[in-house]
Amino acid sequence: MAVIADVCSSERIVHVDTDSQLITRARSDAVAFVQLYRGHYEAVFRYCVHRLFERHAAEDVTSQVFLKVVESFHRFEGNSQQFRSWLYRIANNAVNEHLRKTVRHCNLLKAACEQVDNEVADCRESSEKLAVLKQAMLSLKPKYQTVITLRFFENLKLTEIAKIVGSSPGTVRSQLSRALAKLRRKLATDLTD
Amino acid sequence: MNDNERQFENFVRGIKFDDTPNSDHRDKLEQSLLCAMAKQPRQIQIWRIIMKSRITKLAAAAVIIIVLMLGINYLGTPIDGASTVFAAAIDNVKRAQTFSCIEMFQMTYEDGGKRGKYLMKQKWMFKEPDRERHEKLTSAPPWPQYIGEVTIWHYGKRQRLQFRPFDKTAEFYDMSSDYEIDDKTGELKLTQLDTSLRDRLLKLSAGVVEDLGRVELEGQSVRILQSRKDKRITTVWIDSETGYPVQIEHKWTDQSRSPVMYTSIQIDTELDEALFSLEPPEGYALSVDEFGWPDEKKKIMTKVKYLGLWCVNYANDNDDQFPSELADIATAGIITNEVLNRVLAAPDDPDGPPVIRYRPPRAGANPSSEVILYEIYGQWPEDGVVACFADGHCELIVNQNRFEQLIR
Repeated sequence: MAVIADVCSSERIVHVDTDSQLITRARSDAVAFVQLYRGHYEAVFRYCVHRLFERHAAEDVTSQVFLKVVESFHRFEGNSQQFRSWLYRIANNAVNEHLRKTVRHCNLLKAACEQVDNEVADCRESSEKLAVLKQAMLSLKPKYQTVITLRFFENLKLTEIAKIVGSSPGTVRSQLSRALAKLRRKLATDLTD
Repeated sequence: MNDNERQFENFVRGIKFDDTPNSDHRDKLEQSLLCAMAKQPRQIQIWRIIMKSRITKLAAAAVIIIVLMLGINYLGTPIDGASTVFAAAIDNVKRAQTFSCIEMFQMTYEDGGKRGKYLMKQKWMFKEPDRERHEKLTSAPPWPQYIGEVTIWHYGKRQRLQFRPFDKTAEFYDMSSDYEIDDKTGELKLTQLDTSLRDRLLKLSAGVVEDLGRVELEGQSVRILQSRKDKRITTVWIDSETGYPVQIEHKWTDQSRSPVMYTSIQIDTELDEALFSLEPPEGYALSVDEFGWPDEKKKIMTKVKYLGLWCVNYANDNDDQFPSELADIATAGIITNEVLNRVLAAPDDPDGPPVIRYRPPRAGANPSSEVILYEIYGQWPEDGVVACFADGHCELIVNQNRFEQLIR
């Protein structure tokens, strides 16, 4: 278990250039798989929480994502970059499925607003913005939520987003532009209300 | 980044997000994953290894389909004097919108080095213009999980659903990058509904001449007609009322060839819309296929797979000898030179130079690891290189070292 201990004590120890070897080893080596998992847990969780705006739901969906990875890992044949895109695709599908299944848009907003109301005073401005952003984001179509989240919260390049969503960079660019325009209108309305 | 994006980025920066991962959850999930991994079955059987990627599954399916096409092509060779009858029969089905039949033939399988035979039984259905359904009624003994597996294609929506009663799982596929090669022109095109099975069966039934009289088949009065040509005996049971075939048997005097049987043939009968639904049955766990290859790679894969399967077929017909060069498959009359050149060219430059290279397999090499066709490249492509192996399966190889070792 020495490898795991190393990973625990050093964040981001799994660099992109070693991930490909790790992926190969992880097929038959549980320790390598754990190393791979730890290297990507945060990114998946952050993506889920930025899409769902709720920690517990994000943790549930993160669990589903990695269980799906375990289930399908033997079918994955790719390098570290493709693994990352694959993870985001699974996460994206899982988040969309979660939103569809639970029809939680309203509940999420309600919970988010309640959470915001409880924030301390010095965070009020940020919290208000957060609540408004949540409302605006969740009113967008899932595909727009996806590109916005990947671009502005996960800071991914257009080419990488294109691989994740299965479109061309040009399509992502125009989706992003449309999504931002919608979001801007929504935010302007909500912030002035 | 434009002004809109910059503005939004600044807005996001000003927000305090509670997105720090919880290490307790991470550790608990880690334990769950290790348990789940321990429960995963080991993939040790040859078939499972071959079938581990969607692309190889498609390649394997294509091998079967091409072999069937070859068989059916052979079955469909016009029998002398049949053209007038055929013209009349085909005229009747011009308005036909649906087709279904059960196909049966003996199939050989290999599992862990052991070979066996089983009766392959599958149901084909389609509804014009763009719906198709396939159901596996049997499977080789080592793989009972494939019994009852249903695949539904909606070519209009470019979507496909596959579900298995064995483990109540369903998988949904995006077909927007599913291509095929036009056999006549060599052009790459999006997959579409193929009605050729129906048309060939009709052509075949129109060619039979010897009347063996009437019998009852499943409570229905039918006429049995038979034809012999060379070593081939074709028997057709024809519905007296509609004139359509309801059953066709094709066998050879040469006992080494297995007969092919088509039963429960139904032409232009009502097929419930639900049979072609892209919704999985209730209680099935649905997943979305996550293995979307880049569109360009899918196009090259289609070309490489097409050539690879013809090479495998060439070897099957020539005592396991692969063509020494690709031109041999054109010389053998399998495809024309024009088609060959078009398939070898880049997808976006059909009249351009070849972008696929052929190498005959080395003597004694393991067919499943011997590359026979691969995509030509200058600098190693980021998405990897498409390759076809001597057993007919294709892979997208992303590891340059592995690829170089394979073609050494």
